[in-house]
Formats: sequence, C-alpha cells, structure tokens
Amino acid sequence: MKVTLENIDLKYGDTYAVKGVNAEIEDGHSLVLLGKSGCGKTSTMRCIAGLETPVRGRITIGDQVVFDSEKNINIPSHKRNVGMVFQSYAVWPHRTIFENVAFPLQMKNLGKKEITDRVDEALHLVGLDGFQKRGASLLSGGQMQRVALARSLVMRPSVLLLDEPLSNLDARLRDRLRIELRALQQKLNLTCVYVTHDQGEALALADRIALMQNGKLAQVGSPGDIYENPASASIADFLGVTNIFPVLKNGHPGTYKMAEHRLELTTVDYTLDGDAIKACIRPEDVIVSGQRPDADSNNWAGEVSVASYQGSNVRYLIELDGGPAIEALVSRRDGPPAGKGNRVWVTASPSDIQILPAEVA
Amino acid sequence: MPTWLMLALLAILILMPVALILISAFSSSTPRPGSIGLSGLTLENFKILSSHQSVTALTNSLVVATSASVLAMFIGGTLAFLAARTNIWGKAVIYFIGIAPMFLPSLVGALAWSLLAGPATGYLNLLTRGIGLGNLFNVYTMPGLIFVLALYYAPYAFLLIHGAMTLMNPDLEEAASVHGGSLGKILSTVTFPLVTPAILGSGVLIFALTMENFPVAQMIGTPGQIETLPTFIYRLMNSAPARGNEAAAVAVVLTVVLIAVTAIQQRVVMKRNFTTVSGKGMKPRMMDIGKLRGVGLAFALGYFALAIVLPVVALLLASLQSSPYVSNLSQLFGEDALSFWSLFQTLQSATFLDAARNSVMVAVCVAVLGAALAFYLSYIVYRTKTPGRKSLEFVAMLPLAIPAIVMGLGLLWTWLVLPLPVYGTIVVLIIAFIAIYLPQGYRGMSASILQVDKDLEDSAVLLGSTRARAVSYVTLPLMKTGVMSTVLLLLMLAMRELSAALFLFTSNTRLLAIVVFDNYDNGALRSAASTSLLYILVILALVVLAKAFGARATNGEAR
Ligand SMILES: Nc1ncnc2c1ncn2[C@@H]1O[C@H](COP(=O)(O)OP(=O)(O)O)[C@@H](O)[C@H]1O
Ligand SMILES: [Mg+2]
Repeated sequence: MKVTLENIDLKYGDTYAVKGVNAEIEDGHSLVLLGKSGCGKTSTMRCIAGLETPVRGRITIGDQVVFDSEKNINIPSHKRNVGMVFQSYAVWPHRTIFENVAFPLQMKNLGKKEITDRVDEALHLVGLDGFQKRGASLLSGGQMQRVALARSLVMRPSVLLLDEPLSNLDARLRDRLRIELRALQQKLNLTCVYVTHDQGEALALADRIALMQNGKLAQVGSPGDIYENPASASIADFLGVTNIFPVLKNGHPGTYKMAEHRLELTTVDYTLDGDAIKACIRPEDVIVSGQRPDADSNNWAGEVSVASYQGSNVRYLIELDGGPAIEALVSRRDGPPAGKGNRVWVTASPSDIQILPAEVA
Repeated sequence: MPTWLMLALLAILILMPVALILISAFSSSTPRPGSIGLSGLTLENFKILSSHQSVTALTNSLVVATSASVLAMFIGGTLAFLAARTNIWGKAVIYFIGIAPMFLPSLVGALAWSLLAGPATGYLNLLTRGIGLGNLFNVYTMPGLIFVLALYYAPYAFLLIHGAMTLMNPDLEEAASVHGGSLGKILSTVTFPLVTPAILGSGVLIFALTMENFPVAQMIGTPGQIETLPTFIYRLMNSAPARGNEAAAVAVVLTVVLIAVTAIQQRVVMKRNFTTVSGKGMKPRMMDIGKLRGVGLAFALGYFALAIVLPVVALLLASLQSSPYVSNLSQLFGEDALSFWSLFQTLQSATFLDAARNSVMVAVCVAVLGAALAFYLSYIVYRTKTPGRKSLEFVAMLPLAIPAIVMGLGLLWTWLVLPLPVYGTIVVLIIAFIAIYLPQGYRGMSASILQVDKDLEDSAVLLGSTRARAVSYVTLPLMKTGVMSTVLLLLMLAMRELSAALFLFTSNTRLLAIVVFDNYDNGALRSAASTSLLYILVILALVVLAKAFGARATNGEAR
C-alpha cells in the first residue's frame, strides 16, 4: 500500500535523529533509504513501524493515518500491519522455525489448517521448505535472514521494512540474496522500505532512492537520477566519486581554477559560484594515455604512483604535475597497463566534470 | 501498573523509612502511630557522636571492616584465581569450596566459632589443653572478629573475581605471549591490570558489607567488649527507655560512611564494564602453576575446614553433648556423652517449627514478589521511555547504601506510623526484606533483561501481538535463567537475614535467625546449636528444591 511521511521530526532526548522528512512510496514500489551509519535511517523506519514516536508529522499507510501529531493519532505497532526485518533479524532462538513464522497468524486467531498452509507457502517463497521443525538457534546468518523475511511475508504486510538485511552476510551470499529480494518484491508487488549504507545495494533494489544526511533527506530520485546527477559533492563522494577537488571561478568563462593548485578545469556547466563548490570526476571518466592527446583543454601530465590490477580493470593513482593526485579506472581492453613511475597524460571531457555545491543547502 | 503507582510503592518501601530515620535524628521524639515525630527539631541527638563510645565504635568499625575485607579479598581472590585460571586439580571442588560458605549464615558461623574458640570452653581450647598447651584461642578479640567476618565474606570476593577472570578474552593474554611475555610478565602486565577494577570493586563492596554486619559483631565482638556502629545502634534501641533519636543519629553517620563507600564502588564497577571483555564461548587460558598446585589445594582445603567443617562439627558436638558444660575433651567420649535427644527436642518444638514455617514463607514470598517487582522496574527503566525512569532506578538502588539494621529501624517506624494493620505480622517482614534486597533483585533482573535484544520483543509487536503478550512469549522465556537465578538469590538472602528483622519481629513472627540469636543471647547454646544445624538443613533443602525448578547456581553478585 502507498505510504506517506510528512514533516517527520524525531528526537532522542534533546537531539534530532530525524528532521523534516517527507517521502512518498507508491503502492508496490520500493524506496531505499541510503546514507552513512548514524544518519537516521533506522530511526525513520522505526517511526513507520510505530516503535518510535515522532514529535511532529504525519504518517499514512494506505488510506489510514497511523500517526498524526496534530490530531493526536498514534496507532500502536501491533495494529499497523507493518512487516519488519530487523538488522539483527530478531528470530526467536527459543522457538522453532514454524513457531516463529506462525506467530503473526496466531495473533490473528486463524485456524490451524490455514496457519500451516500459509507458513508452508511463506517458507517455500524464501527457499526454506522442510525447515519447519528446526530450532531457530541453530541457523546460519543467511537462513535466519530468510526466516525473518518469511515471518514478515506471512502476515501479508501493508508495507515491509528491511533494515540492512544483508549487512551481516558474507559478500557472495549478499550478492545472491540481493537479486532474490528484488525478484520477490516485484513478484509479490510488495511496498518496501529498505535501509542500507551500501550504494551498490541501493542501486540494485530501489525504485526510488532517498539519500539521508544528518537526519534529513538530502536528495530523492530514481537510481539513475541520483547516480548521474548527485545534488552535492558529499553525495557524489558517498556514491563512489573519488576525485573531488575544491574549485573557484577564475574569470575566464567556462573554466574553474583548483582552489589548492594552479590547474584549470574546463566545464560545460558554468553557473555555480562561491567558495564551497567542488569539481567531481568519476574515476571511470578519467582517460589515461601514453602520449599527449590532442584535446585542447583538461589536459594534464603526471606520473603513476599506484597501479592496482583489479581483474577487468586497472585502478591508477596519478600525481598530476603541479596538481592533485587523481584516480582513474581504466578497462583492461585499453592496452597494457602502465606501471608505477611511468609518465602519462590524463584528460577528462568537459561534460564529465560536474561542478557541485559541497553540501545540499 | 502505571509508573506513578510504582513511584508510590517505592516511596513507601524505601523513601519513607529513610526519611523517618532522618527526621528522628533531628527530633526529640520518635515516630509513633499517628505522629511522625516531627516535633521539637534539635541537634541534641548528634551530641552522642562526640561521646567516647561513639568514637570507639566508629574506629572499631573502620578497623574491623578494613582488615576483614582485605583478608576476605585475599582468600576469595586466591581461590578464584586457582579455580578460574590454573591447572589445579579438581577445579569443580575448588569452585564449590569458594561459594559453599554462602549457604551458612554468618550468624551461624559466628555461633560455631564462639563454640570452637571461646576463651575457656571452646572445643579448640579443650583440645590444646588436653595435649598440655593450655588455652591458645580466644575468638572474642579484634583479630577473632576480623577472622570470622573474613571467613564468611570471602565467597563474595570469590564470586566477583571469578566472574571477571573467566570472562577475560584469552586473545589479550595470547597476544602478550606471542609478543614474548613470560608467564609472570603476562600476569603482571595483562591479567591483573584487567581484573583490577573487579578486585577493587569487590573490595569496596565487602568493606561495606562487613562494616554494616550486625550478627557477627554482636556474637563475637560484644562478649569481648568490642562495639561497632551496628551493635551500638542495637544497644541504644534496646536500652530502657529506648534511645531512638540517638540511634537514628548514629545510623545517619553509619549510612553516610556507607554511601560514600558505595559511591566509590559504583564508579569502580562502571569502569569495570569497559575493561573486561566479555565473550561467549571463549575459554580462558589455564596456567601451569607446577608445584604450587599442592600449596593451592592445601589452601583451599584449609579454608574449607575453617569455614565449614570445623563449624559444623562444633555445632554437632554442641547439640549432641548431654551435659551442657564440658571442661575436658575426654568427657565427650564417655558413655552417654552424646545423644540426639536435644536435636529431636528442637525438631519437635513449636518454637522451631513455627520459626521454620515463618522463615520459609517469608523467603518464598520475598523471592517471588521481589523478583516480580524487580522485573517490572527493570522493564520500565530499560525498555520504556517513561519520564523519571532514572529516578526510579536511583530509589531502587538506594538500600544498597543503607545498613540493614538502619533500614530495619526505619521500616519499624514506617509501619508504626502508617494506618495499615501490618505491623506485628509476617507481612511487615516480607515488606522489609523486599525493600532491603531490591537492589540485588533489580541488578539481577536488569542484567538479564539487557541480554535480551529489544528487537526480539519489538518484532513480536510488529507481527500483531500486544506488548504484554510479547513480553510473555519472547522476553520472559529468554530471561529464564536470569529470572531463576534472581529468585534463588533472593531466597537465600531472605533466608539468612537477621539484622532487618530485629526490630520488626514479634513473638508470633519469629524467624530461624531470630531463634538462634535469642538462644545465644540467653546462653542456651545447645538449643542455639541444634536450631542452627536444622537451619542449615532447611536452607540446603530450599536450594535443592529451587534448583530442581531450574535455577542455576547463584552466579549473580550478592550485592
Ligand atoms: N535509542 C536511542 N537513543 C538515543 N539516541 C539514539 C537511539 N537510537 C539511535 N540514536 C541516535 O540517533 C541517530 C540516528 O540513529 P539511527 O537511526 O540508528 O542511524 P542509522 O540507522 O542511519 O545508522 C544516531 O546518532 C544515533 O546515535
Ligand atoms: Mg541503522
């Protein structure tokens, strides 16, 4: 069901953990809350679940207002029909898997037969057929994650909340479950809010991404939007743009000057001014060549200080003459890799250099 | 139960007794039915503090508590190290020896030691006289008092230090070993520094416990004319007419000393939480102590003999000997010298049976109700955002700093003043013990509730259950061990308590501890000894029963 958050403020003691959050999740869509640890993702999610009480704002699930500070509405958690997979999974170790998964159905006083059928169905969905009788304390991390998921799915939640569900798993399992989760969400047409601090996970799982910084939503958009057009340098940094240089307008239209070096940058977009602006260049947009290229701008010489082979790619750190170190990600196909100490030429197309404010205003 | 009701409950249980003591200390009359005695504010009562008796009592208390806690720490710490970290033989036995004296109330220990080492007629003196060495022992002295206190408080040191030593992360020591440290170096640079906070913390705790101890001081100190603050308070209350206001003034002083000491302890214990690294499933390294194993074992067995074997033998002899006076050991081996007559007599006496029934009833009620109250409090403090929950915690922990005998006095006045028909019944004893042991119960419960991840309960609520249902389906079952340990701990503590009951019992509500104490006071040593033996048996039976219900050993701290 559609979920709406309006102007949510949450305080712990005197400090705001969430401030002025507005978000809308379409029915059957998934919203990913992405941000650094401690930025307020879990807190936002707990507000939807009713586990925290915001000091201000309104939360609507479907057409039911579950929280409204002005009208004093606060539906308790157990009546919100919200599913939640906790970061710790919260699978009850003293109960069997069947007992864990059947719990929400027992709370609805359903018949024995229906409970058994629906538990079987849920366990089948998550790939745990035949695990009913097992004790929950003997499961691996991946299996616990599946039990927690089945336990939430079985109640057919209006919205499913997942708090960093993959962060406790090893890398391979994480990759596989990421795909399974997305497939399951689309197949069941689930409305999901998914919390993560991993941008790769966010891009793979989201219909929309809401980027959180210091308790506020800094940018909301489709994965493509956010990736292509980050709203600030700190968001770009978070999304893996490693080349970020403070710059200043230098008088010649169409160019900026590096604040700490004498190098000039030619860009397409030339509107921003001030002392808190930064140039951002993705490592994969940096072109490295052995000879001086014939481009007439953004043309710098330098020396390779680190070359790190990564299978399909090589990652270089290049010290530019009279400038900063710049990182480049070069495909293996583009010729034999240069080694440490080699002299190289570095260019970047003006359209690949984004000039962004340091922070979202 | 709403929070304000809880606050009201704690106010009556704890704040009111404390307030009444304070008021009495500054007043010329003590609380009576219908009056809290707030007439005639005066500082007169504090004059007693400058008297020779007060100064001596305070000095004695400080000397006894300091020496006894150092000695108890030495005994308990050594046993803990042996049991937790060395390759000594029979570790389970050492562990048992470390905690066994807890099941012997210090009151009974004191009685047994006065039987063993009383100046002329103590069994040990009979023995040395028999082999021509004359009277060697006199327990009614300062060293005697210190010795007996240390014997029966060493188990507290043992438990705390043992806990810290087993929780230590072995990686820390292994790292020292990998980097070239010898065994001695590892001990001095890693092991001991890491457990130092635990050691200091338990040292301060034992200081406080021995400082406020009444039974041992009364039974060993008073015959030797060594008065401590608790016995001084008792004497003031028991003089005719009772000097309640002056007793309150002395109580305030004793409490201030203990609050200071407890404050230090809390700080030290806080630090401990950061330093000992607890880890599940980690086995601490066992150190090879070579030839010292024999010395260690002898030490443990020696302690066991002094704390348990000799006292129990003495109690047995005293209750079995037919003639009340024995001046020569050989008299004990004569025809008909020993008989079970007295023991059976006691077992059948109404005094014993009533007291046993009262004791068990009080202990069971205190354990169950106290644990329930402690759970509810911990839940409010750690699982809700109720405003004022920190002050609830503060009040619940307050009795820790107040000597039991002082709380007993305050509770006496509280239930005299309150218009409820409770005073003189067994209910007032239950209320008093719940109040006194609330800190222990609260600590056990909150440690246990903190080990259960809050998400586990929250998820049940999200899945559609009410909060109460979630607590009973998820939280309580997961806390089972902790809950049972707390219940057992409260059961033991309530079974042993004497000081708080002294001002509250009546002839119809006597407890086993009271009967033993009275018998001793009246010089009925044989009867005191037989009651003590049966008292120990009742305690053991309760422990066995409680364990059968699923409790684990008292691995919580007593204070
Ligand atoms: N129960 C709490 N009490 C006080 N502060 C909290 C509590 N939970 C979280 N916080 C604080 O609120 C902020 C946001 O926390 P959280 O929502 O858990 O962040 P995230 O999930 O993004 O890592 C953090 O600074 C955290 O320290
Ligand atoms: Mg989080």
